[in-house]
Amino acid sequence: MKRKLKHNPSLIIGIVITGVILLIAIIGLFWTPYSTTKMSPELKFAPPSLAHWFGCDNYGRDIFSRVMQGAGTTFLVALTTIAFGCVMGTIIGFVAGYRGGWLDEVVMRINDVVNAFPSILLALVFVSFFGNGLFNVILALGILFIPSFARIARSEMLRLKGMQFVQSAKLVGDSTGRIIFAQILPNAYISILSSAAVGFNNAVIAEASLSYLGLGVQPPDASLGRMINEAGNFLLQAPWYAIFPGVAIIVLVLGVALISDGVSKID
Amino acid sequence: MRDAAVKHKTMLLEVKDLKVEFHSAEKISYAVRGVSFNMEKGEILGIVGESGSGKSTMGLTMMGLLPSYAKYSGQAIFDGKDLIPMTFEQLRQYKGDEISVIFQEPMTSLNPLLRVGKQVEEMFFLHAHDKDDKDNPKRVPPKAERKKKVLEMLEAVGLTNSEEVYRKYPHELSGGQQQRAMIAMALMCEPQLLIADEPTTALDADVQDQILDLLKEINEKRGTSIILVSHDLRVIRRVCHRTLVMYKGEIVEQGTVKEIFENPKDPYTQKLIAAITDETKKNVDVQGDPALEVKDLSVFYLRKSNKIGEKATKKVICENMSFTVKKGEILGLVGKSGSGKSSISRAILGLHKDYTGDIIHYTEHPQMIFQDSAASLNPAKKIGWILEEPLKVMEKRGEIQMTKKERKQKVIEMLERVEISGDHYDRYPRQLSGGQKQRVNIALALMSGSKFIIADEPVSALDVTIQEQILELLLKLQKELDLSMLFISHDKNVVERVCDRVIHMEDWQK
Repeated sequence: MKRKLKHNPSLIIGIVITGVILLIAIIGLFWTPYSTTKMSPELKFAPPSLAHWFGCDNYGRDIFSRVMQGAGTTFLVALTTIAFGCVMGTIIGFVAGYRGGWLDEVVMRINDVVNAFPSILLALVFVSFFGNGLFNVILALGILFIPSFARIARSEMLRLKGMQFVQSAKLVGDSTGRIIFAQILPNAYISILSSAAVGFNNAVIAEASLSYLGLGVQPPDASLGRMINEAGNFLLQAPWYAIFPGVAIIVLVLGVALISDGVSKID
Repeated sequence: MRDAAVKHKTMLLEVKDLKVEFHSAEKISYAVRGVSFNMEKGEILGIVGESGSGKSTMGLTMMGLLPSYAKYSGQAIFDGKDLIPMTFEQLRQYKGDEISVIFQEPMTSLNPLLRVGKQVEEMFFLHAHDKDDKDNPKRVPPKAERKKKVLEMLEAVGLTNSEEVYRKYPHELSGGQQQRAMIAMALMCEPQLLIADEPTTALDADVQDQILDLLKEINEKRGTSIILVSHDLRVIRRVCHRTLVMYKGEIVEQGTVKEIFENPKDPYTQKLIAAITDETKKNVDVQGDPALEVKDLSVFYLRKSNKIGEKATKKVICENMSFTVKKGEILGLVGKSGSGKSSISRAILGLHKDYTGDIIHYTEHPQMIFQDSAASLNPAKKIGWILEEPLKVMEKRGEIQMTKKERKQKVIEMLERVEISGDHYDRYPRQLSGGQKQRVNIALALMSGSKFIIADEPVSALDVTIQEQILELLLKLQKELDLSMLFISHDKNVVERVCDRVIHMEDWQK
């Protein structure tokens, strides 16, 4: 493992960037320099200063503190979304690919249908149907991410299931479940993980978009997307209000993209 | 004909102290270590050795086809000029014009999207070198003349229905025809030297012979000198005048084919020759209980149609096949590649369902040894895990009970039984050589204590010397464990070496 890391700078840099943001987000759960909800009219649109690094917003709340908390929310939403989509998608894709035949056809056509709609539109429909809230956002986005993972898992399965070691496993007497998850999965996890990292970024952006449209995390809770949404009205008065959460999203996405790049290079 | 080299004593190629090293991040590997040899005009020179001996690297060096991380030194004087210091652009002038190459896999060497005729014709544009027209050698002949010449060349390499072949795509040709087309392409500019790198390895035995005869004919009729690189001594013996024997990047012996075969001096050469001449058959004992009985077996494939309402088509592999494998016997099944041998073995072991007839096993847990390939062992798992799997399955079925330690012990015993050290328990398949992997495959087949094994081309992907070791191991295990075996191969020599009786696929095919 050490040797693998040595020749994989993007993986190292990606882990460091993501690690720092994760650390800040975790700290933000327990402690922020200022309260994230307390309004202070006298600090309305205070520009960045030594006391308030990222400045203050329209209610005089410290933007740095809110970015700390918002990063945590965004991280949490993206991670659970991808975990859900990845696990479900892998199982569905694997089983469809392994079985083949009509099951494969049906599953993949449903996949195509879900894929054919713009994902944000579907999420909007879902959230407006079941109501706002963190859990519904995660569920909606998670379902939307299933097809992309199912597709990758299926194509990996098609590539691997004809290989000789699978035949050997059948001869030895392995059960189907064991062939799929003990023999084949370990050969496919790198492709799946590297696309999970890409998916994570899409989830960050999707959550930001939903919150930007006002359907994601509800005030006064902070999420990076939500903050950019609120900042939209004050772009000229207080540009720092939009810039800092935006930069936070960019850095988070960059870090995970580097991890994804690095993971795909592991052989 | 063997004396052709003596008749005209003009030097064509002189290689002096050629060294090739491959530099990678971790290590430097020496592919060719100071090799010197001469080649005369009109000669067929063989280069024989196992893979990794540096034989192919030498040919690639002369064509400037080595990857950028290769460092090389020495001299290769061709027609009075040293090829080694030449840049890629300078070498281009020689490629096709003076030196041509044909490779092992004709299918991957031909462009799948271009008709065969067009591809052969393209040589005129790449080299635009009309040797008949001395005043204007760069002239590209007009279209009609080009086509005429291509058709002539296709005929000359034995593609007699040249008009038809001209219009076909590579995938519409058989492997032998593809290789002929490659040879036509290589000869289009009438090169002085043809480098043939394992030109017949991917082909069936009888097609191999035809291609080798063609090479010989080209040499005799056109006077083209040929370097024939091969791992197969039989191929060398068939066509070459002289040969070099390479081992670990060095020439261990060189001489005329006659000298080498009749009086090999180097121990490595002796071993190579022993491997192909040792064809001792064992006594046939047809008596005894059967281990496997196959009655009226017909194996087929159902090919699904893409059109709605159209019925699936049936592709028949074999019809009404019947044979018995006795206990303690090795039965050989010979058939061409692509003749469906593997489908039959898979049907016998229940991995292929489309068959009719009776398959009766008299032993428990029949197993299969596959051809060594990149994925014959699960690439993501350690050898220990792979070999413990059969034990875990048996445990789940309640047939045996074992602790973790006992399992490991048993796996290590089995590894030693197939003559590799128990240290391999913690290694991944990619850390093993082809021969070692094949040993692990054998161990895997034996792990569940089976007495009947199908060996499906178990050695065809391996080098000659390794082949010999694996065959010896199989014979040893067969005796020790009293195994019965169905041994499937396209290689008659291998089958004759190990089998008690031989049956042929063709007898059950239309």
